[in-house]
Amino acid sequence: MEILRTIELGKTYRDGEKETEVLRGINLEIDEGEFVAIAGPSGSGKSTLLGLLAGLDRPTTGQVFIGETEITTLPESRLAKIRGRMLGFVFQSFNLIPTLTALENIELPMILNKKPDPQRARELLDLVGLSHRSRHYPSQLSGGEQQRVAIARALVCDPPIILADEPTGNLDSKNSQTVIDLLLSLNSEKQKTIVLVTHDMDFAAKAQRIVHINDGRIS
Amino acid sequence: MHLIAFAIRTLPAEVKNNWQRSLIIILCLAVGIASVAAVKIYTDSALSYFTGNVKEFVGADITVQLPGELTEDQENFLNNQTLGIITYVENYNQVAFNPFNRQKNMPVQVTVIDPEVYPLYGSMELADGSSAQALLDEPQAALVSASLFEQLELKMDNLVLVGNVPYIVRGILKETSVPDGFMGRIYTKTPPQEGVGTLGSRFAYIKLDEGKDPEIAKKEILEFFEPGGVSTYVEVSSQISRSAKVLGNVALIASLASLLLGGLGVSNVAQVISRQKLKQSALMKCVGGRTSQITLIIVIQIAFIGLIGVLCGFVLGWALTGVLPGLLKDLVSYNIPIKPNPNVFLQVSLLGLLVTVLFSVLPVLRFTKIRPLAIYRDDNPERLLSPESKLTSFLVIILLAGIFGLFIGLILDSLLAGIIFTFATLILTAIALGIIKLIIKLVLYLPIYFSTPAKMARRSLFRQSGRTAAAVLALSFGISAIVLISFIQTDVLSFMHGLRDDQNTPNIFALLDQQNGPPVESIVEFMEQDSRIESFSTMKLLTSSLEIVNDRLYDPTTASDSRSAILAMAFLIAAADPENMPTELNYVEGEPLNSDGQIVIEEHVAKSLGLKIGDRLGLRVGTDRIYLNLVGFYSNMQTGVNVTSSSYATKASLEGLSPEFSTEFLFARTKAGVSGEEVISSLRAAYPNMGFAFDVGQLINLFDTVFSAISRFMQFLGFFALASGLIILAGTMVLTKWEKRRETALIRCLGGTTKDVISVQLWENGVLSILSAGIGITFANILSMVINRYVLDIDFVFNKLTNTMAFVLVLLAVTAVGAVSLWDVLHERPLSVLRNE
Ligand SMILES: Nc1ncnc2c1ncn2[C@@H]1O[C@H](COP(=O)(O)OP(=O)(O)OP(=O)(O)O)[C@@H](O)[C@H]1O
Ligand SMILES: [Mg+2]
Repeated sequence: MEILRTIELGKTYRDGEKETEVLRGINLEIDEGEFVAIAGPSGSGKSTLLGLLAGLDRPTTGQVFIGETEITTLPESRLAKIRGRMLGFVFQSFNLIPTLTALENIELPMILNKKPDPQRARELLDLVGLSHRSRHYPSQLSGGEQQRVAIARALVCDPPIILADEPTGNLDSKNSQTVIDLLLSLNSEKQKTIVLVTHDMDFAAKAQRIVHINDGRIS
Repeated sequence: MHLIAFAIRTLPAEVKNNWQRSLIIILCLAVGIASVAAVKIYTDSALSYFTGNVKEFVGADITVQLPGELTEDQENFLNNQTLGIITYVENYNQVAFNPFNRQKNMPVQVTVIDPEVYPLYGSMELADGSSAQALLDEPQAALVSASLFEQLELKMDNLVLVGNVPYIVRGILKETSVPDGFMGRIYTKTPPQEGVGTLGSRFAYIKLDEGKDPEIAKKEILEFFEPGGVSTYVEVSSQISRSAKVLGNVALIASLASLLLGGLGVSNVAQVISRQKLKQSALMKCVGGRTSQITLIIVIQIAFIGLIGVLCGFVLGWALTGVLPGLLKDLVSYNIPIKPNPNVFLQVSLLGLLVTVLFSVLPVLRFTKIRPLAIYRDDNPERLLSPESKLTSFLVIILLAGIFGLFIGLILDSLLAGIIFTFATLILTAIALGIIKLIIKLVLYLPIYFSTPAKMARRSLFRQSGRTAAAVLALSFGISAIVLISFIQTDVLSFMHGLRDDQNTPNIFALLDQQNGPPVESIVEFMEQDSRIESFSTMKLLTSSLEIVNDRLYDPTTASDSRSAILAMAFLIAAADPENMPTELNYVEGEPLNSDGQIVIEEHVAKSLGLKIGDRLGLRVGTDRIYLNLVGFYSNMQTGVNVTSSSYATKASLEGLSPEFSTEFLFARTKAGVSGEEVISSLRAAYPNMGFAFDVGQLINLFDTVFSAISRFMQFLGFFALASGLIILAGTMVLTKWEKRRETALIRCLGGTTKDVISVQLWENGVLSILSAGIGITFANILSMVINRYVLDIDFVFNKLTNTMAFVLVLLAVTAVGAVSLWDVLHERPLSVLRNE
């Protein structure tokens, strides 16, 4: 059963006169519980694809399905709900909120999705091995620690899909390994579907499937 | 709910991170709320003081004004009434003299009381705080008001003459309800001599027995007495409440101005805060947040910071109520205890919160509408803002203004007034902001920015023109309010003083009582012999009623309004000598009065009666009727004082009519340097039984003090608006500080000196302050000109001194704010700044 599916997906950026076709004719099917890596050179359109999968942006052509739902035509408020329930994000530049503690950053999605559960936030902090850092602010955490908090945040609403855009891009190799191991264990132990965008072919190789993107096409 | 809890829980970190912004929000609201709170606390305390002590003020539960002669029924009723304790109070209008120097005299109201029963509530207190009752046991003992004591140079336990009756001064009254300096007061148990002076009024004061309802008691009394003369303390209390509310509301609306200006400051900060949170907002959307939720979090946090400002403002306002009695002492002579009640606190706090929320929702909403994709844009997330929907913003503004209007309406007790006030303010503010932005742009395009610092200042002003406009608006509003009031005050007072000093305008008016007073001939003789008199005339004033116009019956009920009907029924005609009119008339239509059988009428009176030049008027005077031809209209408005008459005819035309309908007046002008009061004193010394007389100078002095008190109060409120402007300006500078820092660092790295940095700032401040002061002062001058010309009908005088002072005040204030904000920028090392960026 595929949980993510695109049909003839295309994206063209228009900036006045100038048009850039970033993605075209993307047909992608990702099964529930699959670990897929998306690889490709810089500027090939990986982030754009991930954004379209999550409904952060609207495609120029084609369709995106999350489960049974076609999301390309949904209004922003419905999209927000779906993102909250179905998707967890991990970004290259951690994107933690600086005025919230580690624990509060993890709680945030639950509060926005109206099911706050401080206990669960603690459990997840424990899962990423940072229970002793709960009251620290992002500026008081190392890069690796920040990314682990971000992963805990992505997991807190128990979404079936995790979208990770170069989560190791800003980390050293030791921390990168920890993050990838964490994602792998989530896939094997919690059956999360994981879409990992990465430059690093060593990490990509650990996925069940690698999707290569080149010049906006799957190759 | 969880959102709110979350917003509050994370607030401290937010404030710590952005303490300067929080401080600006707090200050903006504190200043605005302080002015509202001061006014509200004061008027509320005054209201509860007056209504709470209404029985002591009235002196009874019910007062009944008694007619000159009681009927048998009335007398029986009063003697056998079972309502409660009754006591009688009589007021005589008289003149009091210092028996050792009759030139020292003044009109007094003598109140005759029965000290064993009076007052029914409270006690009569003396200035030194002792109780007064015992003193009045002595038949000739008198308690006098402070003004009387001073003006007559009386001595304690010495004599004071009322008419020809001597009393012994035994004490000075604590407070009086009559404006001091105009009429003294005396309390005694023995009435002054009958016949001389007029018996002003006579009252029965009733203290109801326990459990008696004042309304039921009133009904019982009304079976014997006229309804107009009976009033209960409940009615008086509600009357006081009503008028206090009206005055309080006027002051409240004036004080709201600085709160709304503070709101503009809050809206500036809200915009900066939410703009800075663009990426955070995008992130929250990625994890399932909706625009409304994110907006709610930010607005709640701003509201909570605002709440601190509101609390500070309330305390500040409370403290400032200590200043108000000083400002208003000429208006309110009572020592009102200030007691802020929880209700006022609640109202003011809600108002402050409402302003915070209303002014922050839109700017916040503008930035929380960011698309979630912005999370990928590190460089310029603002490009992903959805285009602003004009219609939505418009609807939101209307909605917010509506809510605010309803709330103000609730406070003002009139929803309509609240809504109208709000929307009028909204529209005016929008227009004013638009114009100011335009002027800023215009000034920035002037070809005066040649040097590098000037160019840099120009660039930075351009960037902040939106935010600066609010500061300029507040500053210019504040300064224009202060200056305008001072202009009007100066112009009105100088007009009044001109009138007082004008040798052609009489400054003494006296009513010559022909039954009890000296004969008119004696007064005329006195005036002729007194060398201090420049000119004088006497004038007979007739009360008639308009019956016939051009051979047709004039029906007062067909008059345009009830006022005209009364005018027609009590039509005053002055008998004058066309060669020597008591006051110069300003003819606006037709011809001046020049022969018998003619009449000239004041324009507005004639118009409201529907009369035209050429009409033949039939006027009834007692049992007689006279016919006069209407030949001219004059306008009294030019002089502003309508103390003369609504019409004039020659003396011969009015000869031989029923004497009880005529009254004799004296108009006189003293020589330059002689006050009217001096002459009146001599007149009274010579004719102690002279009737009512007053000096225009004295009236103008009283007007002076009252008018100055009101002006001071309004200027006090104006200073709050000015303070709001300065805070908004300081806010703008703090909010754009990093730009300033960067700029400073750049200047330094390029080899610039501290002098260059300062000169950029000087340019910026200079442009801003000249703009604010210029706009404010120009506006004040124009408005003052318009008001003088069309409302007050007096000349506008350009006031160099006030204008210059206001200009310098704004200049200094803006420069001071600029200097403070520049301080720490100057003390930073250029490299560390550039590296941090
Ligand atoms: N808003 C936009 N307007 C115009 N062009 C855009 C926009 N966003 C992205 N692009 C272009 O689309 C292309 C793909 O960008 P994208 O961020 O998807 O690449 P990527 O594969 O994620 O690259 P990287 O590995 O460097 O992150 C780039 O050439 C980029 O310049
Ligand atoms: Mg990318």
